[in-house]
Amino acid sequence: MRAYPEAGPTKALPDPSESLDTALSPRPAMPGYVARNEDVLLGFTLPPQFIDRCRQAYLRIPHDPDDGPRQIGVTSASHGEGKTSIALGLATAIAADTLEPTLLLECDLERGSLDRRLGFKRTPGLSDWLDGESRLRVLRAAPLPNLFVIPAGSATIDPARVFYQLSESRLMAELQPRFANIVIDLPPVLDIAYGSLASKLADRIVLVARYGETLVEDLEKVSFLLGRERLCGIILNGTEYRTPNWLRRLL
Amino acid sequence: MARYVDILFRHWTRFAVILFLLPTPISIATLIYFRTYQAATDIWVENPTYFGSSTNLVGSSGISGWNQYLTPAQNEADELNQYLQTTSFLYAVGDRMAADGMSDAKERNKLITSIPKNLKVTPNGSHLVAITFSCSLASECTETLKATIVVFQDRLTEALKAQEQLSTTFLQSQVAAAQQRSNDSEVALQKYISEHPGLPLTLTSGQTGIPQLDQLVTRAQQDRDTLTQLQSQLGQAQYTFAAADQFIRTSTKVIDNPGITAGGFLGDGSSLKRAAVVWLAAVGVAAVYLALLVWMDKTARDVRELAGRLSVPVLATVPLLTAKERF
Repeated sequence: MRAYPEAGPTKALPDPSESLDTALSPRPAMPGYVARNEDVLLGFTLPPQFIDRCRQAYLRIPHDPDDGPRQIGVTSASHGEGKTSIALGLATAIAADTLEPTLLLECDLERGSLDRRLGFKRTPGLSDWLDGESRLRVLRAAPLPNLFVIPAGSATIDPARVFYQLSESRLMAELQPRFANIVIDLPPVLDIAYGSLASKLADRIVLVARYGETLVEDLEKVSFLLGRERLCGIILNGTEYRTPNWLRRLL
Repeated sequence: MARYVDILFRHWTRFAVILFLLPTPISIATLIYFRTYQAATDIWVENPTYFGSSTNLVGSSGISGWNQYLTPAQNEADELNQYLQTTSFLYAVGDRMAADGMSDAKERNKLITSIPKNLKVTPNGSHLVAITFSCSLASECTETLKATIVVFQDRLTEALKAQEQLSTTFLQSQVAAAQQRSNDSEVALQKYISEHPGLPLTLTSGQTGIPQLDQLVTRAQQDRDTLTQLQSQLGQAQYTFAAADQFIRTSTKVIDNPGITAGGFLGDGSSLKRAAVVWLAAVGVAAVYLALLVWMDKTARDVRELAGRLSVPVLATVPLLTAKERF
């Protein structure tokens, strides 16, 4: 875990647009571009039925293309409820369906797990860029040509400061013209103090609850903290109905 | 509701234990331990008019407690049911059983105390009374039923005899009074004849033309008739008294001798009822346990409940991925 930055003048953030342009239209000769083999993730596959449920979820979120890019934040009450999986599933489904540039922005700075799931190096990432220590690293998630990932980067001991920096940066403004769809993997709301601050990155938030584990009371707290108007729905993850289907249909 | 069903299926092994594994051996043990037999008999009850209207078995002055608006079977069933509620009747049944060879007093007491509960008397049609008795041993069932019927008939006989004795005593006093009146009338007539010689010979007609004589003749004739009638009634009552036992046994004929009609594990159904009670208790425990589980479970399970409580739609449900599918 990285130590607090030394006191001194704040480092200016590198211009994200350079990295973004490089990612969207890779040009090996561009300065600052990391080797192409590192930029493209090895192909990953998600279970089709999982993608399908994520597709069902994003299609139920109202979106008007005239209002700008689709921007969905994914959060949960606590860690371990499947929020990152759902965010990845949503991004994959959207990218596959729309064929538009789609970005998965990993903002769970403390316990980001996309690197383990997709098999890439955790650093450098968003937190490193916000600390001014590296360029913004944008990875393309093969096999889809239009799905990109910005990893969380190094774990930081003061994520609240990093999020503050993030909200002050023009990153989202830079991302929006380049990506028609942005899925933000937000930190959980109740586990961390800055959950509400983090959730301000997205206009529309999807709340992930784990079936049989997440307390309804916690979901109510999250709903209260985020505000009902920003919460566009719940995805109940890990459902494991033991009731026979025919009986469930009757109930 | 969906939540209840889901939790029921989720913990189906626990509920299987509560609903089946625990109550099944208890129910089987109940069936074995509380094995019952049912003995039954049918009694044919004659209408009292069968004996003719002259006997005291008939009419409003007939058998005590006999309701003329009920069928003979209903009357008999009602009477027996009332007897069954009396301790003296039950003791009499016990004595009868002892006399018939049931020596175990404890067993006898157990049986006779169970009679009010386990002996069922049901009128079956206008003249047929069905009597059933349930107990744990076949032979004891039939013996108890036999003894009950015999004691019942004895009681009826005793009641009839008491009634006949009462009427006999009454009739005897009536006959004595009538005899006295007849004698007095005869003496008065004879005296009148002896005091008035030369009277016409047609004295019995009562139309001699002499008012005093006619009155004496008529009165003597009436007293003789009354005496004859009362003597006839007395004779009949004495006959009925002497033959009361025979009357009762004829009027309440045992059509089917006591025999076992149901036995073994099922018996009279009481062991099945006990097994059902055990199972119902298990169902009750399971229901309470289920309610407790549902009450304790505050997690997100039911889509409709979530949508209702949070006022936001549930966009999708994502099934739990298998170990192979996880990424």
